[in-house]
Amino acid sequence: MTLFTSDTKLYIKTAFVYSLISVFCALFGAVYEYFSYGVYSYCMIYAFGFPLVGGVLPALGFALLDTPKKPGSLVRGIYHCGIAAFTVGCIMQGVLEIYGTTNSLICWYWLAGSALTALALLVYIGQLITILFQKTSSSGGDDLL
Amino acid sequence: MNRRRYLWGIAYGLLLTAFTAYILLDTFVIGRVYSQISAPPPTSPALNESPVITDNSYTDSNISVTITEYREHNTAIYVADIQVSSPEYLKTALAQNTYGRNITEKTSDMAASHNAIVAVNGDYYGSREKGYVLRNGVLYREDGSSSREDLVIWEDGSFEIISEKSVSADDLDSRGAWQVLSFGPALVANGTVSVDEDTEVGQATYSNPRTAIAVIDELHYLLVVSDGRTSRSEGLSLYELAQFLQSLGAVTAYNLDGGGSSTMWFNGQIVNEPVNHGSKVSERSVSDIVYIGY
Repeated sequence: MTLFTSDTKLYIKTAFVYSLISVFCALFGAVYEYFSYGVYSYCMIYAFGFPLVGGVLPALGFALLDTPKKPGSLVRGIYHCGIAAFTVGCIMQGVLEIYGTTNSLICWYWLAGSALTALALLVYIGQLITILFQKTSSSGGDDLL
Repeated sequence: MNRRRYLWGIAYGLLLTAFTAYILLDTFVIGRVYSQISAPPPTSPALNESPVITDNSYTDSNISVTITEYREHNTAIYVADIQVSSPEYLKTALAQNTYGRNITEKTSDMAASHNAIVAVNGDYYGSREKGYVLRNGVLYREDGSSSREDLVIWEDGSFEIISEKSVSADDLDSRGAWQVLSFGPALVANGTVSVDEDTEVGQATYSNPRTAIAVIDELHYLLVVSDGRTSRSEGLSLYELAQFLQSLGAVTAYNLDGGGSSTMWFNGQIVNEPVNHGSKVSERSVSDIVYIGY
């Protein structure tokens, strides 16, 4: 008897990996803050939020909820890249804030993160709409009338 | 297909790592020269007499400096009490005589090369991309930060606190500003403490080494450095520093770059115990100094 489908296993594994990344970011932030001699940065402290909220929660959601279509490898890949950009950008922002400096290039992390996660969401929503449309078409389309 | 997907992932990871490494190098390592100061710093009238120099004082007919160590709030505070006959003896210098990013030099080296009598670190303009930089009458950077308060030293040696939000660098330049220091905040304005107990520099949370400059009266200045982060000296909050400066009679006082940068140099010696890399006692290289000299 199989308790989990292969999709469910995949998302549980994804959630686990994102959990490890969240723990690493939280520990990294805590150690960095400890040695920052009284200078704090919210970005450094809460960098773990991106893999936690943007990674663990959606992965668990897809593992536990029944959806018309799970995101494919393309969508997942683009989304992971977006979350990675956000997480690294957040830590880098923290490093610069704690040192008391700035660098305008940091905005590229936010731009890349926003663009990649938005692209992943758009592709996934497009796939969902296509499936719904196909289902409606195969049922004769009378329901639309 | 699966292999190609991994390759894309690895390529993206490498790109992200390379970009991050570049930002770190760009911020902390790669020196960028924006302009070289071709002319030497403005020269003041030459001194035709021998000054009287002791371990903690310097006196000649134009400049009088007395270094005093105070102890407040379990902190060592070093005060250079300065009286000059002309505002031109209050000067600034840029590291390596160059305006740029990541162009740094130790306060003691800059002070020695400019024949300073007493010097402290400046505002470390090179660690930020914004904030006015106007030194010895030359405007180098006019990009302001809306939240920043600046200290303007006018040609007559008087001090004024301005906000970069409300006054442009061009305006200051055209009105004859001699120095603009952009760090802050103002500690004392019109003889009144202008920070409260919660005020801090950016996101610092507790007592750190501090550097400040103040004016007491016409051509009567204070350069102040307090140590911190060591067992010998706990460090002051901005409020404590402001109260201390007010007690010395400061009418206008302004906070300069602190932390590991805080260094006072007098007559060839470092006066305080600068901390760098956390709590290690060593001198940090900075972008600029404020000094008294010919």
